Parts: sequence; C-alpha cells; structure tokens
Amino acid sequence: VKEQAIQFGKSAMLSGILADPTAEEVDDGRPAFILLNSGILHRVGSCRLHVRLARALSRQGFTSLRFDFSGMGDSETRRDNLSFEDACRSEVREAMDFVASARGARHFVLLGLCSGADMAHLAAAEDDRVAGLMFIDPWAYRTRRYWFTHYAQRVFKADVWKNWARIRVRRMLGEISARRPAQSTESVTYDVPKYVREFPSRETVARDLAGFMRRDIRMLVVFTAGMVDHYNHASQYRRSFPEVDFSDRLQVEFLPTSDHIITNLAHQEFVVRRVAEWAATVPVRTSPRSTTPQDTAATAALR
Amino acid sequence: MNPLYFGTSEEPLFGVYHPPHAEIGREVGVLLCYPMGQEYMRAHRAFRQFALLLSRAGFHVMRFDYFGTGDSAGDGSEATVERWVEDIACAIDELKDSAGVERVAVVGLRLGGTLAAVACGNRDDVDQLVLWDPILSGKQYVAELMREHAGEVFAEPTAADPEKETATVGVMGFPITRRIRRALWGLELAGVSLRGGLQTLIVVSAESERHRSLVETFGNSGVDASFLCVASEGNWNEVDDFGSALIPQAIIRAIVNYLSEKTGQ
Repeated sequence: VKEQAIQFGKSAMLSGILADPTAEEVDDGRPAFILLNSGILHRVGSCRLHVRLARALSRQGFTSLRFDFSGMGDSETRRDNLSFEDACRSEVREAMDFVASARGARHFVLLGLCSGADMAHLAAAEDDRVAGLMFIDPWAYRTRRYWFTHYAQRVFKADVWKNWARIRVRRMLGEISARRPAQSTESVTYDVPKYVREFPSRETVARDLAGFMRRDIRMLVVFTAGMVDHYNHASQYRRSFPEVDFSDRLQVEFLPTSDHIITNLAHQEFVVRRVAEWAATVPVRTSPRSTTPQDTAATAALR
Repeated sequence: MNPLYFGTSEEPLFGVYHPPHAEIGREVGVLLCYPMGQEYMRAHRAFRQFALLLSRAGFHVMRFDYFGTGDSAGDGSEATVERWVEDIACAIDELKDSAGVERVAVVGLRLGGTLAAVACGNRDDVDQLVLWDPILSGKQYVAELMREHAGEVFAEPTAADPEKETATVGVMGFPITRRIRRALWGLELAGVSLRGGLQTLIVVSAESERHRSLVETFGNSGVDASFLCVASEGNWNEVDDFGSALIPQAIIRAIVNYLSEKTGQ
C-alpha cells in the first residue's frame, strides 16, 4: 500500500487519502480516480468499498484520492452558505486541482454511490478534465419495460405471496405491529450536511449524458436492488435515454440481489473486480480536451 | 488535527492526532478505540467530535483504525483479534511519541472497549480506562452480529459457533473470519485482568445490571471502578439503507468531564 494522509481545500480543510500506484509500469496519461462520499458515510465508503477500490486501482497503476466532503468524516465544516450540491461541486474541483498539482494528473474518473454518483454527475458537467464516470445507483428513470417487469415479477413470484401471507398472519397474532414505530432521534444529533435526494427531470439528465458522450467520457454504471423502486433490469439505463448515443462508451451492470450499500461480500468483490477491469479500458489521453479555465494549483501541499 | 500513518511501513495504521487547546494543555494523552464493522461506520463522526471536545479540554488525543479496518493497511479477512490488541498498544506508544506525554487514558466503545481492557489493563502508563457500552461477552456479540446479518429475530445463537460454521462470513458488509469468531468466543470482559488502582469507568447508554456488576467484579481485584448510565437513544449496530451517524453528545460530555476530573484540572 502506498497511501498518504493529506489535507487540502480553500473554504474548509478537507481530509483524504492519496493512494499511489503500486504497479511497476505506470502510464503518465492515465486518469486519476476521485472517490466521493456515499451519503454521510466517510471516505472509506460503504462497507469499506472505497478502500478496496483504491487499492485495486493502485495495483492496476492508477492514482486515487478518497476524501471527505466538508462536514463529513474528518473534514471541517464550511463556514460559507453554499448549498450541499454547490459545496460538493466546488470541493470535487479542489480535489482534482490537488491531485493535478501533487501528481501531475490531467484527467480524472469520478466515482460515487448514490449521492456520490449525483455529485460526480454534477461535477463532470462543468469540468472538462473528467474522462470517466463510475456510478453506483445513480438517478434512474422508469420505462414501460420497468413497469412490466415490476408487475410480472410480483405476480409470478411465490415469495411475494408467501411474505404477504406471513406478515398478515404475524400481524393477526400480534407479533409485529402494522407499522414500524418511528425511532426517536430526540437525543441524537446528525451533525452532517443536509442532502435530500431529488431526481432532476429525465430530460435534464439526458442532456448532460449526451454532453458526456460528445466529450468521449467513458461510463460504468452499476445498479443494485436498492433502487428497485426506480430500476429493475440491466438495459433500463440505455432505454430510459433513447436520445443519447452511448455507443460503446457506456457499460451497465445490474445486481438484482444486492442491497443499496452492498453488504454482500461477493457483490463487493464483483464491484471491485469490475471497476478494475473497466478502468483499464478508459482511454489514455495525452492532453486536455479543451482549455476550460480551471482554478490553478491546490491550496495545500502534501504533508 | 493531524492525520498520519504510523506503525510498520509494510502494514501502516491510519490515525488522527488532535493536539490540545494551547491555553489549557494537560500532559495527558487520550486514545480513542473505535468499535468494529457497521458500528465503526456509525461512530466515526462522533469520535471526531469527541476528539475535538477532548482537545479543547486540554488533552492530546489520538484515534486510529485497527489493521484491516478503515484507512489502515490490510483486508478485513486478514485481521485477527490478537492483532487488534497489538494495534492498541502500538497506538498508545505512537500517541506518547507524538504528544511527548508519559501518561495516557484509553477510551473504547463497544468491542473497542473490551479490546482496550485486554490491551492496556496491565500497562503502568495507562491511568484511566473508559469502557463505553463495552461488549461483555464475545460469544453473545458474535451471536448478535450473526442474528442481525441473518435478519432472523429468533435465530439460534449456536448458528454463530465457529466450530460449526468454519467459513469467513460477511456480517453486515464486513468479513468475520473463523479465527476472529474463535477469539471472540472465549472473550469475557469480567475475566480480563486489570491492574490494581486503575481508574476504570463503565459508562452505558441504557441501564444494565450486568454492566453495573462489573464495578464489583473489578473492584474485588483492587481496580478503582465506577459506573455511569447516561440514557441515550440509538443502536450502534443498526444498519439502514443509506448509512447513518450517531453522535450521542451527553455521553461524550460525561466522559470528557470524568477524564478532566480524574486528571486533576
């Protein structure tokens, strides 16, 4: 492991771990990975997924930075009044600036689960240094086939009926109440930024995705059953954006038996392996695709 | 706040050192020992806030990730209970070196408390030990984790028996090996040897006769033990779909007060 604890940032001191490649042959043009918080989980990721991803990427010859957004994990809280989304966009940019300054990276892959995917999407839309996106459970939109699959699965699944019957019998016997009692949070302080996940319109997301494809951004998208209210079959992502020409730039995986935070060890293993395989297919770029002005160097040097 | 790696270069441990508030400055270090698995995820931000409060009270504070957890080296499947106990000892030495202090207090939450008792119960440089909702029985803890994992309210605890289930099992997203389960199976907090005179606080978030009885058990060995219940909401082991944090401020403040009183300032 070649990892270094770092701090950087302009409006708040952000903490992260910079992981250098351990592979013998490293191509300078390879993108660096930026791993973003999932919800309020700190930078190690859900069930430590980001640590395992970072180390798998190191073995593949990639640099990565996993860091905490302001107010999460080990990072300070911002003192300005930026919204959660605006703060995250700014901090992703600062993270890229930092890795560019510290390691000379010119291109980046942004990776995130749930809100991490949302922030990766927003940041990619405004920064031409992004060459790849790896989303787990991003914004998704139902299609006709979604509804067909949804009802077909329920009608023909014996478990659904068994479960329905079991719950009702247990309710009749008084073993479980009809509704789970709300947990008191009176004495619990959630001292973390507020983020309510709202899906933008499908058209807005389609417009961004079309832009990503024009910029030749490569995408790997993984869906779990945690998104079953929005997503239930592998091809839904492409189908829900028929106006976007993804061509071979998009790869999608669907894990119908995985929960949202990927607690199953075999699913974790699959995601780590799949990301490492996919990373090797993100094209090496020799120069920035455009000259979009960026903030110059990172504000902090390596400790 | 200084994040750092320490220990061996082959298998470094991640830690964060919080220097004391300059105006108060005590010559005492406090080591914070996290719980494990999902409990670690839920406790992470609370430990940061806890460390900040302690540093404002003048303590040198260190919190760290055990081998195979958090940002430290290793995979969870390579970790052992013995290694975690060694890590606590290593972190105490690192805290003393970083802070330039000779005297240390150790605070551990849940399994972190029980491991802290094993690791430093007989060290003569540790003056205070705070066991926060500590695990009393490793056997019951393993059974509890397995029940949570299975999602079966009435699952038999014996299903967790390491002699019956030999494979590494994933418990709420984290691998628990047979070796870890075996080591925990035989771990009883009441049986841990603590040196006479060690100031030990057992602090719980819900009244528990079994925890309260530790005062007498440890007291019989000459330990200066006390008990405190600070009623607080929250289940450390709860897992929801999105992950969540628990920051029980009252209990944190109570521990800061205890350590401030015991260290004489």
